[in-house]
Amino acid sequence: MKRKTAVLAAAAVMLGSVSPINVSAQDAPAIYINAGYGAECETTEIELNIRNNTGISAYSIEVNYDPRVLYFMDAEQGDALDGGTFYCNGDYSDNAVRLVWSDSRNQIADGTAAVLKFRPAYGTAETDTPVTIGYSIIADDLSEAEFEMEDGTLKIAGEINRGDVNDDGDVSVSDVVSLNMYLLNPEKYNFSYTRQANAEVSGDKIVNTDDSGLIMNYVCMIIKEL
Amino acid sequence: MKARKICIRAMSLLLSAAMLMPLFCVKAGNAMKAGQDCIDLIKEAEGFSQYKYWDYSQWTIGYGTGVGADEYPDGITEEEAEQLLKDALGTYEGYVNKFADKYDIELKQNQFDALVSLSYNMGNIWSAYDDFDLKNYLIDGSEKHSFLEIAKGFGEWRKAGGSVLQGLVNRREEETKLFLSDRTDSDSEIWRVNTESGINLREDAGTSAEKSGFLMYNTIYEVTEKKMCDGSLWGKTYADGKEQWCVLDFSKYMVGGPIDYEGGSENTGKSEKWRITSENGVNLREGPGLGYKSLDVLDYKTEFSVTNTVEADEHIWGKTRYNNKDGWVALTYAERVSDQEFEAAVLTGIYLKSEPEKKKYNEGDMLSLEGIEVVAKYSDGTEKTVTDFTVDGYEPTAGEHEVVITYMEKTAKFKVTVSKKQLKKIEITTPPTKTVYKQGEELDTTGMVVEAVYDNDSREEIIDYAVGELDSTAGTKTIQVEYKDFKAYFVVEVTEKQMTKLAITRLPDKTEYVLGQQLDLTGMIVYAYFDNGSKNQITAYSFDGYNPQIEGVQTITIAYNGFRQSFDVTVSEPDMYELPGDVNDDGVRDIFDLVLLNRFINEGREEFPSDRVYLADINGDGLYDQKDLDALSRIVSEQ
Repeated sequence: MKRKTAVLAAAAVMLGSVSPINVSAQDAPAIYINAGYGAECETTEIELNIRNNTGISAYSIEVNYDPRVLYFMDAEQGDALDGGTFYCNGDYSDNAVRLVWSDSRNQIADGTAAVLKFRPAYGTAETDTPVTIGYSIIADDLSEAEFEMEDGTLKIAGEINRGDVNDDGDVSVSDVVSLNMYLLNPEKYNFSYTRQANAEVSGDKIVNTDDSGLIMNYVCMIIKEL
Repeated sequence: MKARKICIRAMSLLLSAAMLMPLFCVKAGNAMKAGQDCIDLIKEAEGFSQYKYWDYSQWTIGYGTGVGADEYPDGITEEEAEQLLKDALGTYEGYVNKFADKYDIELKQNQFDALVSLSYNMGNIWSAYDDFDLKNYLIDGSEKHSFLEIAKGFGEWRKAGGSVLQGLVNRREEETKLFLSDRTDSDSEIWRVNTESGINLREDAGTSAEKSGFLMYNTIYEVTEKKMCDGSLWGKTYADGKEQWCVLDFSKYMVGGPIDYEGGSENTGKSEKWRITSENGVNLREGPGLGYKSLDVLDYKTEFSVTNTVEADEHIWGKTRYNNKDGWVALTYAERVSDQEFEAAVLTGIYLKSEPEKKKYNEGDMLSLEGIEVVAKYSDGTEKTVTDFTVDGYEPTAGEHEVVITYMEKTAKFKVTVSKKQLKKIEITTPPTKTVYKQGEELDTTGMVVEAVYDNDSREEIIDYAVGELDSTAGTKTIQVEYKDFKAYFVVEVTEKQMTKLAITRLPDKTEYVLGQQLDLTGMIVYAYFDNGSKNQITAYSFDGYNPQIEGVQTITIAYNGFRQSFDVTVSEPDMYELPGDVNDDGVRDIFDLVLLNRFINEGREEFPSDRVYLADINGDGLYDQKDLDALSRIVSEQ
């Protein structure tokens, strides 16, 4: 990854506008798919996250996907849940995996409950594919808990170059400018999935000002890697 | 017994009186004459004066006989004096006879003699006025009145010139005794205070008893009970409206009784004089009865003193001491010579005929009196060995000690030496009888003798030593005996105990199983028994015979140290609706079973029925662990 140093330009670009983050006002407990971006033929991680956790002691969740687009690799327990027993039945069906987790204690942390690894198939670049939650049951102690279930969509990019927003082969202040302009008006600047994927450097699977900030820090050599 | 004694005494007196002199009972109109008792009494009381002397109101000579101033210028002999006395008595005999006639009183000779003596001394004033008790008693019938009344009646006439004269006191006393000499109907004794300082009365016998009264010099009192206390003889009397006690040491016995007390009556100084009347002599026996062994023989006319009488074997027996022997004589073959007092033998002292054999002691030793013989000496020259003495003065401390033997307040002494000693060592002179033990047996020191050896070569057996423990391992053991930092040792052998059997004293809680369940021996108690009678609970046994996959009765065998024991369990088909993993029994295996299983396996929380615990063993390996959680997770993920 190349980066160019242009402090003033970067400073000019950094002034002012911040694109709105795509945030929905959700107070209800929810389990949602955080898919983000993936690269064609590259392993990508899709998160099964918990939000507004009121306490869970076990879950059994079916995650559906399109096997023509995505190849299921593996799943593992996420950082939000401490301990317990995690099991992934990857052979549950052709288009679904079943995740089961249980513990002796109720856990109330938000975050990533499980991480599923898929590999987008060849030729799927610049397409998106849904990753959805099918059957689910959550245990809060020894009774069933009410959680909203939110599906996700994986946007499949081509080759990903982190920070190269404008896809010019370099990471420079122009990538920052380009990203910021996109963030201000995504419809106008209609980034491809590849450019979006390149822009998403913060790891939250969302393209936002966090990413432009990081790229700028990289350009200014405040950080060494993206 | 007292009534019986009175009867015996009465009988004895009657017998002696019958032998001695005829009884004279005077009826009204007959003149009695003074007997020899009267004459002797007067002679004793008056004393003999060879020459006449002025006696208050007249010249007196001989035995108190009044004479003219010119008579007997050269004095008088005793024979003349006695005759003079007899002649003079006529007047006084008349006084008494006239009194008796007047009141129609039958007087016995002794009574007549006593009254003549009184009259000779005091005139007939005693009969002149109605105020005088003695006169009234006689008129009433003297036998109706107690010894105390009679004694006090005579006692009214002890003054002359307004003062009590001791001579009159003594004379009245003799007259009282003579007057009452024919009577034996008194349980009590009459005493007179014989010390000028008087005597204290106390609430009880003994000098520690509270003082409760006082008796003046020459008081005549009645004693109803006697006992030894504080080394003295005490008598109970009634004075000032209550019963009180006084020591009899300072009083003189007059008449009545005798009253028995523990310690005997020997020291009262009162006894009767008897004489053997059988020409064959009479046996002195060990006890009052024909069955007692004869100790000696009192020859014909032998005089002896009797200090006590009892009736046995149809005889009256008198207690006496003859030829240094204490014994009893059948008074049937004797006559009472006189009931006048003469001193019985009194204790004059004691001496050690032989001192104890042991004179040398070590510190802490007890005094040994073995070999001692204490002999009491009496005023009559007799002696006897005594055993009821007290010992004092010995201390088990180093030094010379004077040991005092005391018997009836008489003492004798001997010396002993107590040496200081230092413990040098201890020795086990006899080891314990038991020398071979089985493992686990308690040490038994029966038969062991341990001695302390001192620097003065003395030895003594000790028992307050400490003995070491016997440990339970097999082999030769040395046991320590310790006494005051000194040690000695003995050896015993401990043989290894042998196991004799294995026993299951309690079966496991669970003997019913379903297929797939692992064997659970919880609750089973197994003991190993040994040849020394001991037993140990065993947990390190092995077992076999169980197969969770085979249905039916199975014999489980446990083994330990070559011994085996068995018991049966039953394995059956599980309930068809029982799903491994469905611990909450809801018919499905889901995440709720997973939560319960997590709690059971990771935290030991059994929140489902205990009879479903076996369903937690999902993989059937007999364990409840993570593998079961993984297995159930897999099962749930397939639902």
